[in-house]
Amino acid sequence: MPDISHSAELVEINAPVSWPRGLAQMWRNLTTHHHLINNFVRRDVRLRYRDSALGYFWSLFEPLLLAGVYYVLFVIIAGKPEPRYPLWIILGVMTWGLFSKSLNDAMTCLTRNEGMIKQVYFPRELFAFTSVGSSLIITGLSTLVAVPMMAMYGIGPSLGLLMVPVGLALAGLFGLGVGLGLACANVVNRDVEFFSRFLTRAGMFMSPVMWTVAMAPKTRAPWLKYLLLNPVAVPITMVRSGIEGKGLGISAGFVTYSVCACILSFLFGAMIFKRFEARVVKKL
Amino acid sequence: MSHTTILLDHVTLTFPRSRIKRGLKEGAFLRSFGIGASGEETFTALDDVSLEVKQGEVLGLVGRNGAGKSTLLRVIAGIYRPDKGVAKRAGQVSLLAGVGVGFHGNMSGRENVYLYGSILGHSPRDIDRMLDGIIEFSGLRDFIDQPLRTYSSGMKTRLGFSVASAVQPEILLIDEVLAAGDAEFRERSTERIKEMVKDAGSVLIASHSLGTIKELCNRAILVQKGKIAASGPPGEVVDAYVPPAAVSDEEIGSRKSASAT
Repeated sequence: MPDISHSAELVEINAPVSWPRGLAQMWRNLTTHHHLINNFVRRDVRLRYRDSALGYFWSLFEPLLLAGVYYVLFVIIAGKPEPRYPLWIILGVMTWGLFSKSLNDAMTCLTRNEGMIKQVYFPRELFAFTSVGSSLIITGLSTLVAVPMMAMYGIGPSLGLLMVPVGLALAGLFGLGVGLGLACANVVNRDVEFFSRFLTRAGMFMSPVMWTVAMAPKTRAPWLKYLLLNPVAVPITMVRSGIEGKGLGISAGFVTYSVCACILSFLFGAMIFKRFEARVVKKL
Repeated sequence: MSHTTILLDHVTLTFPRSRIKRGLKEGAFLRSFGIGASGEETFTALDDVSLEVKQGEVLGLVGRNGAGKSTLLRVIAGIYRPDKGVAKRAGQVSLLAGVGVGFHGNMSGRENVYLYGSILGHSPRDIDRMLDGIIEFSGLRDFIDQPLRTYSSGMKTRLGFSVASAVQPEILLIDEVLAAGDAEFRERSTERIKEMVKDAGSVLIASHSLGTIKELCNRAILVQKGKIAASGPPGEVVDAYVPPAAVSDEEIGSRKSASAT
């Protein structure tokens, strides 16, 4: 006989949680299920480039190739840019890609895993955390492509490099938060997914991905303010300035705003998710 | 001294019957989020179900397809939250259903044991400890380091069942997994389930195999259209339940075609 004296108390299954209690519960789930998270992340990272001859190098080639395309496009449209421009595009594309993939993966974490959700119970937010976690690791590895380029441009390593992981983490966190907040709505109505996919595509042009904040003409400074309302602008700039070893060139107010926006969107997204998740599973 | 391990108190659960209607007419978009008048068709899977299971009970669930047996088990497992009523349980639970969910074809059998084990809530150290027994029971020692995509579907089921049944939960929920693999493995898995049933605190078995219910259970309930239609000794309940011939023929057919693929 198993010893069940310690758990003989009847506990409500899947009891509804208040907004803050949901957050606490999510934290507890993350700590008690770290084995599962570990396993899932490892599986994702290891399997992403399985059965391809170039394997991990794809995570370096892909942003390189993409940057090549954007560079040519930019030269055609706007003429000769500054010499380090290819590096800025690569970093912009990678950071934005991390954000939009995190958002998309978190938003579809319930709909994509319908089969598993209906057969076995474990905290469903883990799906979102593990896919964002593996994207973070892969993007982190991709940033190594900057090392040879830094040598090429004669940029030495600096303490600013510490800003790179911070910027990436913020971009991933923001995507995770918005995605968690939309995940339950997406179960009820898939229009959410299509609409947000459009938004992330359009948002790329509104964000400093193919341009840098420093490139925005000073005469249009009023416009710059509105572009910095986009919380992803600061993380992208952090990654770039970190590599270059220079200051952000963005006022402290906007930096604070962006960091707070990323953290708050995560907290609210997580609360929304825990509040509705148990109720929408039956609609899968 | 036997205490209650599962308690369902007037549990009702309805599923939306149809997917959302397309188009923007009559506010279908808003209505899908529950805003505005709801004209949604629903299907009541569990209708005011109350049930108490005590320590040491082995409860059989019989009933037609779609009667609500699986849904009942999933409410207890924590997958669905009741719309009305309260569900409570004492102790950790394990649901044997959809054996091998989360299996990945590009990983070896051994890696999949760890992956599936962690989905079921075991730490790598627990799995280290159980690994030998799992491989032994599955009878797949020679294949365990091959990628799972090279396995036949029967082999996958064997591996999945071996992992899923390697633990000793306090509350064991079994949903129709008794018919897995070839005849020899089926026999062994039935034996394994009998052992688990003996050791677990409480067991719920949903099955169409009425013989199994009679043999393993000490109580049975008949689930009909989301309600508990009868409850009592397995022999009586099973005899009271006459599976419609047309349905069981259809089932045999679908099971055959499923195993053929």
